[in-house]
Amino acid sequence: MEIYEMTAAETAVAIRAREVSASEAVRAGLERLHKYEGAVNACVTVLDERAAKRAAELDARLARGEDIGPLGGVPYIAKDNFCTRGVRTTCSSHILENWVPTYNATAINCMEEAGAVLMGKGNCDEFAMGSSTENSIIGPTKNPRDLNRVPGGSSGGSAASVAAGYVPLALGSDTGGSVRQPAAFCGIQGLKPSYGEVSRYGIVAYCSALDQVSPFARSIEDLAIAMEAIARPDPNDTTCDAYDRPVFTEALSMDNLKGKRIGVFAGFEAEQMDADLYKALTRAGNMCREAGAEVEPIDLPIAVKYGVATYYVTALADASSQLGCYDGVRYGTHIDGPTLADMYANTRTESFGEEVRRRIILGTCLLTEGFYQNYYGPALKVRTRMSEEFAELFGKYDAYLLPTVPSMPYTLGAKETDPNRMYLGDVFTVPISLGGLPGISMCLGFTDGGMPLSVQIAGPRYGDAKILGIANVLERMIGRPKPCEPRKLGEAA
Amino acid sequence: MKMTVDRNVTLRMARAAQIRIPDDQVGHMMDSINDILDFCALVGDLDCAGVPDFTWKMKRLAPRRPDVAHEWPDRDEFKAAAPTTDGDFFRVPKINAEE
Repeated sequence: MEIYEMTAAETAVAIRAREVSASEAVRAGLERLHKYEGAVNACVTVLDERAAKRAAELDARLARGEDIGPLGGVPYIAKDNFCTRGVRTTCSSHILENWVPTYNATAINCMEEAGAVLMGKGNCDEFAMGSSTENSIIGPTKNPRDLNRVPGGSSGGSAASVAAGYVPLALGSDTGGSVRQPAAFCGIQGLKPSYGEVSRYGIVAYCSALDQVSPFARSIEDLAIAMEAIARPDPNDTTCDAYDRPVFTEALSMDNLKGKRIGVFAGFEAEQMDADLYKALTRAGNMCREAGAEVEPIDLPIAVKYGVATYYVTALADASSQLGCYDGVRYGTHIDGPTLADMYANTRTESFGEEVRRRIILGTCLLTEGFYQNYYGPALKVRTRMSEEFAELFGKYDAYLLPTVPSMPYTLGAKETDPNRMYLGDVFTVPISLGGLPGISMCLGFTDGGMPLSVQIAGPRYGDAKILGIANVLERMIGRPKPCEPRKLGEAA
Repeated sequence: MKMTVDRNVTLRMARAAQIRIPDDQVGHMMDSINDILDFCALVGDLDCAGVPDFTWKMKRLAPRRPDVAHEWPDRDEFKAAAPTTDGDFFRVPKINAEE
């Protein structure tokens, strides 16, 4: 097996066993990246020298007999909204184009402590606002499974990096589906942890009420290992729960689903979504049954009907306030003007992209007297009703299956002009975010045409280990996704 | 209750957000806001009488940092991130004069 085909777990084991050095693992990743990056465009910044230097340090430590950590020498990519000390962090926006943080996000520190090697910063939609990774200062990222299509978003660069075999592991952030949807589109595994599971300190916020640091990998085991590295209390983030986390990898010892009750979403008719993805959901339900679970159809009437509207109100309002800090004064791009108001307006108008400006203005509107009472206030109450719906469900079921996405990745540039329809692409991911629940999008194989099939497994809040265990049973039955040679479909691989 | 914005409200919102909308794009922005307001009015349709606002519940509150000064990375690193510097100091554009 080539190094780039290995999972993070296999890479770390091979490095500890001295079969492969950390330097070789990083070099293999960088070679793969440079081979395909011209076609895929997954990274805003590539850290050739820095990664090689760090790998050499790890090799030296290993040679001295030191423990270099569970991810020792494993290269990874972090979305470009994770603050990285000494490495520019752009959020794919002109306003932070040249911004170099003086500190690391907690998740980055955790990955460093675990021995992982940061190889680059992943492209994303500007400030994580979008679901195609097309709205970026470096241009669109392309889906390695079919370079004619979008990789999904907003964490599309991180997802594409894992699918193309640059790295076995990557970090993204998921607000309304920004890791689960690109995982589904790129044919890999992605976990959005429960709200409060992972520290967000040092993640440039889009919607603090929902943002979660979320790993991508090509195996469920790697997601569990990543969670062990990053899920821990943090005095720098008061929204990060201080409870004692389970050992996530222990959940992987389960080899069947006997005694588990699993609900399968039955609220959509076959014609309401892509036929192959509909069949994938049915197949996942059947696999759970084969593995010994009791499987029943379920519906989520409140979450599915009201979820997207509620998400929209919550996220836009939050975004308008989060992005208020970009005023051109203390950091980021500064564009002068004759008055202070002109300076603010020049900086923000010229440095934010169109979608970001639109969302900020909309969010400002939603928080204004009158609009607040009719939109933001009711949305807060709908969220309570939704969480009651979930609580009732998880009184009966250990987990439930639903689609990650209702459709296959769309062609690059085929922008949906009706925003309402565009956001409906989030119908299955946003309810999980609004409920603070953990959700895994896992690859269920490929269509005859080579496009990835997926299913989402959701669990009760803080049931991250539980759904990792269930996903792992399914992954054993179906096999884990392999990295692909990026190509345009219709052409030979 | 469904609400809408007109041109004036659209411009007022943009001003509040410190963002300029070119004259020829105000109509487009207004339509876009109205589309979303129309779609999101759905949140008012669910009966939520007596339902409390949503709050996140935690199992255990986050540990608190000790309230003491701590060392940061070296001054030069900060200064490199500053818009301009003045000797040892981080300098930002003057804003107080007009406020």
